[in-house]
Amino acid sequence: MLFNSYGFIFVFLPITFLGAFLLCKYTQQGAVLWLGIASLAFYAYWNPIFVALLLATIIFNYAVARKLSQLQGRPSSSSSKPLLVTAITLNLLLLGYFKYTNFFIGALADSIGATFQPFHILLPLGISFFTFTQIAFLVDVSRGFAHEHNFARYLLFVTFFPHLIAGPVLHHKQMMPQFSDSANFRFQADNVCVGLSIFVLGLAKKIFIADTFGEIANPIFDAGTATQSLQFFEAWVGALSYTLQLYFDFSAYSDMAIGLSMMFNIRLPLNFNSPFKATSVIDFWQRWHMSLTKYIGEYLYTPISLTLMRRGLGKPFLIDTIYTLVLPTLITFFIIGLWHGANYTFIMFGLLHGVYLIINHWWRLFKKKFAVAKSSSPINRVGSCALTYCCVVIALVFFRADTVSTATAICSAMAGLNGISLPATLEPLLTTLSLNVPSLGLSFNGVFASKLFTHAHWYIFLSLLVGHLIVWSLPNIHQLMYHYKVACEDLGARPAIKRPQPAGNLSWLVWRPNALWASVLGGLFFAAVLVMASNKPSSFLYYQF
Amino acid sequence: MRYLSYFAGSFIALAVFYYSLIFVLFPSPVAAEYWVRELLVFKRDIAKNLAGQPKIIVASGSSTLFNVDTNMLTEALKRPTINLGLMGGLPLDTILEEVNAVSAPGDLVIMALEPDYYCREANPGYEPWQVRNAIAWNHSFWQNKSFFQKLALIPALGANFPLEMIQARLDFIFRPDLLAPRLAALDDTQIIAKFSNRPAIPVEPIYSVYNMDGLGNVRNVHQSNYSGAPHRADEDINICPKTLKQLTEFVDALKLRNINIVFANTPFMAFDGLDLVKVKDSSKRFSAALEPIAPVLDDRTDLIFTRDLFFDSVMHLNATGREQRTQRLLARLQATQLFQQSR
Repeated sequence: MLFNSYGFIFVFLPITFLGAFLLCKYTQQGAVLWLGIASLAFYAYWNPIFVALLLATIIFNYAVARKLSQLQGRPSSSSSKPLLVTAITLNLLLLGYFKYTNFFIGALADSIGATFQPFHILLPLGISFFTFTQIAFLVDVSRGFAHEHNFARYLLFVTFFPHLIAGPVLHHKQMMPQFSDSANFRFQADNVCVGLSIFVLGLAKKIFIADTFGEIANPIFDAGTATQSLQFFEAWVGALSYTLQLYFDFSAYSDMAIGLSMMFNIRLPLNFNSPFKATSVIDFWQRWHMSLTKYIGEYLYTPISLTLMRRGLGKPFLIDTIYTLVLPTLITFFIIGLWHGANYTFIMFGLLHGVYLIINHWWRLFKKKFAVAKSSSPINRVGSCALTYCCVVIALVFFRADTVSTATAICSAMAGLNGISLPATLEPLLTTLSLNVPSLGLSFNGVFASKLFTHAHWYIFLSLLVGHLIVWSLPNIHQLMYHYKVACEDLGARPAIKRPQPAGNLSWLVWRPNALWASVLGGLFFAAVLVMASNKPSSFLYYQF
Repeated sequence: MRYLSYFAGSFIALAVFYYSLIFVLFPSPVAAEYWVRELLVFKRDIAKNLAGQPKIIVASGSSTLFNVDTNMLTEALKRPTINLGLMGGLPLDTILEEVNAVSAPGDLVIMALEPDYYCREANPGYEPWQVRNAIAWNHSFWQNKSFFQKLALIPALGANFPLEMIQARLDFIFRPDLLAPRLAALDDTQIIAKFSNRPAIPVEPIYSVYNMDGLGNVRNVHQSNYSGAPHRADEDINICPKTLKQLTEFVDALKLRNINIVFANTPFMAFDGLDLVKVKDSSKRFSAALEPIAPVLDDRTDLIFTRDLFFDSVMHLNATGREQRTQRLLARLQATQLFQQSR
């Protein structure tokens, strides 16, 4: 079920909401169970058969966690390690079967020159998310950091519908206390107002912005798939439009998930914190898909890094960095890439980011070693931000393209290797300047020579301009809701994430529960609902992962 | 709670205002696919003029309009052949209804449906332009819907639609000349008269009945503008159970009226790496699925065309492509026993 569908907004959500708060009056446990069952129904709407799979993994992991908890207090002879390793292996095998069987057998067949007819394996939605969530839980139970003796709460932790399909990747430490806090099972109008407002803003972002950029990007990538030669501007428009599509799509999904969760008094972790305002790739990964980065850092990068670090100890600097930085980063980002999908393009995406991060870390080491002064000038910040953004755009071409060859073809076009087509009106000007036009790869067949776009050129350029202005100049949802605790990082005495208040002239944008905001968002909601009817509901891009 | 009241209040107020405007302003000559109405009237008129003689009807969405030259078929087979290519956005029901209306005992119907027609039940409901057409010219469609069905259909028109309706109403009163072409398309007699009296077939490749010949073939399609992705010939066409049932009932009804029917493939675009063995297998599976209802006339491997033979979409060939496709169709028709039987 899609968040941006009528069925979800007008049927599922009201029923689930009313049911949960009516049950809360009588039994908190009943409400937890209701939300768990509603979440399974949410999942079943897509394919009921996979609910059995989801439930089976939940029951299996819950049983293993119980056993691991029991083994915690025992002497070391009955170590929990074999059980943990077996359980993790089974979880990964399941994920591997559904997500990677065709890819790996296909790759093997390619390498030996055999033909391979892919198996018809349907990928269960959200399998990467619920597998990772449960593996982390098992690891922490075995370490003694977590325990859960209530099946209904565990069921809700794994299936809670706002995060089930596309994250964020939840950590039990953040969620379990909320599911057991009785205060969260009382209707709180403030939270409903805040949650509804965030949900509407996310919905509008998806419908009015993300899908618009999808319409611009798709023909370019389709043409790339059809091995059509693209020109410089077409390739850049395609890459930038997809970048904005993914940004707004993921941001919209994250906002909607936070908003929905907030209506039920539950704070999800922040997953998206204006990543394109990042001034380095390191900074980017602290802002983009934050829950995944945190997860991978804690459960993958750190163990790999610690293991390899021992091998590099006492070795020359270059060897040492290979062990402490290069290998852990490349392995981790190879896995991040593969996590996104079973395709070489995703591996390339991951490895590119791995390389970016290594260079970024080396640059920091270099600056430290040679005491390069840290500049905080606006020019430096803009330059860093622009460079980071370009790196991300190029990596996202691989993320979006169907094949690596399509992605490299688009990147070549972005580098101007297929020539640059300019408006015919510029021809006299450049000729007057006595430029050797052909040798520069210039032609005058119009900015978009292939006529791939259905939209007017001014519309495309204006959309890109407005999209980038929103990205770089407007506050994000976390900042808009400055006065409210909307993410689980905001809970507790010391917020885990710094949240700057929107600067002076944008402070009027900070949300307040007044009549003006209510009317504007009510109107926006109606407009979004209307547009949903005229466009087919489009799935969130992160649903495929 | 006050916030929620304002939120709900503004939502409801806007909704009431929006719906009221549309109900009050119905019907309205807003911009719509008037040419579809002209197309339906025109194609029925062709059949009316050929009444009493056995004919061949090639039917589909818009692909047949571009992919088959029924003049060539008529000449070679010595039997009038109607190009009943309509418009790909029309529901399958409408296509079948039109075939039913124009066919008569002794005819041969070739259903060259676009692949997605075999499983449109996966996306039920109406497209926005269909609702727009209902308000502009397909009034009976609109009037046959219940109040709640209308409520459900209206949002598809988008947020600006009431403004368009107001403008169309104002134009109707103050500047009717602006709306003359739309109003003319509402009158069957005017459509036929306009077609008969047109000075010449337009030169521009436009979607219009006035750009068609007397057998319903679209003209002036010499260019090759399509730059999108190919439709994969090596992938299976999904035939949904409901569509299969609908087609079975339709074919059975035609057979009862002594009308022969065959299915045919649409053309596909060649691309690098296209595996012809897979195409052949896929084509066989398609034929096998339809065989219990009616035979499939051709094989998909015969219908792979290079990109330069496509006109403006992956489903439309240009004039050169159409000639080649028609020759292949002709060869198949001449080879088939069905055609011999229905002579």
